[in-house]
Amino acid sequence: MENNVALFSLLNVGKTYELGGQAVPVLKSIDFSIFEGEFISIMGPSGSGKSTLLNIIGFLDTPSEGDVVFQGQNINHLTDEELSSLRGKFIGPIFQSFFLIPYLSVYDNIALPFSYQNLDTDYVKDQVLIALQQVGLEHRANHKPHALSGGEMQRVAIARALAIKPKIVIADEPTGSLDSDNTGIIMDLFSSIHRNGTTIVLVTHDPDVASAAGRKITCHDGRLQE
Amino acid sequence: MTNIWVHVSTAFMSITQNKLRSILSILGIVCGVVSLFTMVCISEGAKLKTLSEIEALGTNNIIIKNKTNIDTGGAEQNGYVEGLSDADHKLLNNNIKNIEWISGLRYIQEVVYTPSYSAPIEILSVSSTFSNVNRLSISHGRFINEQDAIRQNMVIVIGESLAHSLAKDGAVGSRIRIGEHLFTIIGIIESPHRVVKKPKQLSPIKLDNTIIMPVWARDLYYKNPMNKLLDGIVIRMKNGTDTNVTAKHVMRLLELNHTDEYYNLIIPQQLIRQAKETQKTFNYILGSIAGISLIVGGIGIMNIMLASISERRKEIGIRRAVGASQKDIMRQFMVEAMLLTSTGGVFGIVGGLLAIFAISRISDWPVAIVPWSVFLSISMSLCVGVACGFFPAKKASQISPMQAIRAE
Repeated sequence: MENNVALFSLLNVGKTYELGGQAVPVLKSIDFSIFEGEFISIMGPSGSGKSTLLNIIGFLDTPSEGDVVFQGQNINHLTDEELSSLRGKFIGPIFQSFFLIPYLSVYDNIALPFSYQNLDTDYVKDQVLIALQQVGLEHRANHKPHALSGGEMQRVAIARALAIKPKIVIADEPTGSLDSDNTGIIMDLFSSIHRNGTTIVLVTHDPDVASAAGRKITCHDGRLQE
Repeated sequence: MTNIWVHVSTAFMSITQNKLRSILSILGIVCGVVSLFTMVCISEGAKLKTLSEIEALGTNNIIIKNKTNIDTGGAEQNGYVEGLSDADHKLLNNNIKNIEWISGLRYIQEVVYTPSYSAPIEILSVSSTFSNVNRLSISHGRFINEQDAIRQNMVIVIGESLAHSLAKDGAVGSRIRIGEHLFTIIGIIESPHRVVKKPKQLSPIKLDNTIIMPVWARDLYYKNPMNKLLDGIVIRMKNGTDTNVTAKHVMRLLELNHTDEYYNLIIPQQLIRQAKETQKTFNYILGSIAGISLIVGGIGIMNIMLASISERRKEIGIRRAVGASQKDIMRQFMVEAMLLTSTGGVFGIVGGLLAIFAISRISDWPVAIVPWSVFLSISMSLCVGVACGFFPAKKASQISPMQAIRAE
């Protein structure tokens, strides 16, 4: 499934935060590429910079230095509108706390990324139903998130990420709030998504979860080790 | 760029999510719109009433009235005559240009007798042109004409309400005794509220319960041959005449015989202008009060929006993470603010209608519901939504997606 086309490249990327007037470097001179179809896990202690790295890959944050290249395009100088458009079309984000909007139904939560793109409603409906089928929650489409279990909520979040047919799924501790049974279900889902050719970058503390990835990276003190 | 209906439906869901808070937050706007709507309707009602009263005087008319009762008038004081007279009528008729009609009038105090009725009724002796000056509509018979004056016919015209009160004694052809003299009814003046499609009936005097007789008949009751006195003279100018300029001319002519302490000049055109000026001031005051209430309501909305945004940072983060731009977030919260205020506006209009209904039932205030007041109320509440939603929406849009996601 993997090939040699770099989907995403970080070139000498650094990230520094201002904390109490002091510059705190979180990422240091990162050179890192993601290829299409890869399943990458990033592990590391808390505060090592792995979530920051994931946010930069998901266009949720920008680096303080260095270049970020996505599909051959340097995204450093893109406007908020352009970056948002890239996020909406190519990135499928999954978070530890599921991040579903409580007053929207499961269906509307999954359709949320489409509401920022002018797409045909029938197309959107098809994609949402396909995503619901992928995670096995067709019967929950009209339920509100509070009616779901933790495992189901994470499956809805995965369906939301998959519905747009993303280039990369970024997952930040996706099993962090789940018990072992649900962790198993979610990891099976990730494996199946990967088998379908989707690139996955997953941050985790759990070595068992990380073992599902074909490429394992450790983040330590703002630097990456393969 | 999102479809605006997505924002509207999202805003609706978000507002209905916390109904009590939404209701409390729009209360200020509801109160503001109620006061705005009510004030506009009361102000419009007052304006229409004032203007219609003034217009009833005839916008092309100039009315000259004695300041005091002229029963004792006619005497000369320092060379000036007290009270208007036929001589003034003639003087004005001969010297003022562009007069369409001119008519003198005199009130007569007498008791009216019919076989079944006797009471003091308002009697007016007028020249035959009075009907033209005041555009009277005659429902039965005819009005007094010049021949009646020349031949000194003992004829009268009566108001429609009076004719009804007198029943068959009030019909055309019936005879009525007024004081010592017998008169024949030759016409009935149509009641003003029945005159719909005909040109608007104008009259400074209510004629519905009045008897009108030729001006010469005045001499039957006031036997002072020296002074053919009048209570007033009404001049109807031709269309397009500046009545203010004519009024000055009228005053110069009257000054030949009278001092200005003896008569009043009423110029409806001037009164309308003054009424409009007064109305404008009144509107500014009412508008400011309503504006202040709306601003207070708007500040309430702004507070609620700011509180809501700080509670919904996570939601903002999720939306940003799945592709919402700063503009999308801004639009979403602007639409929410506008939906809140326009809902407040709709409830405010309903409240305003109830308030107006109550006011018109309880008091005698004239009220007028004009369509533009509904449009004004809705657009003002939308403007408050835009103005008060802008700052919170801008603040929401500036939250970075990463910050918002970490808000948990």
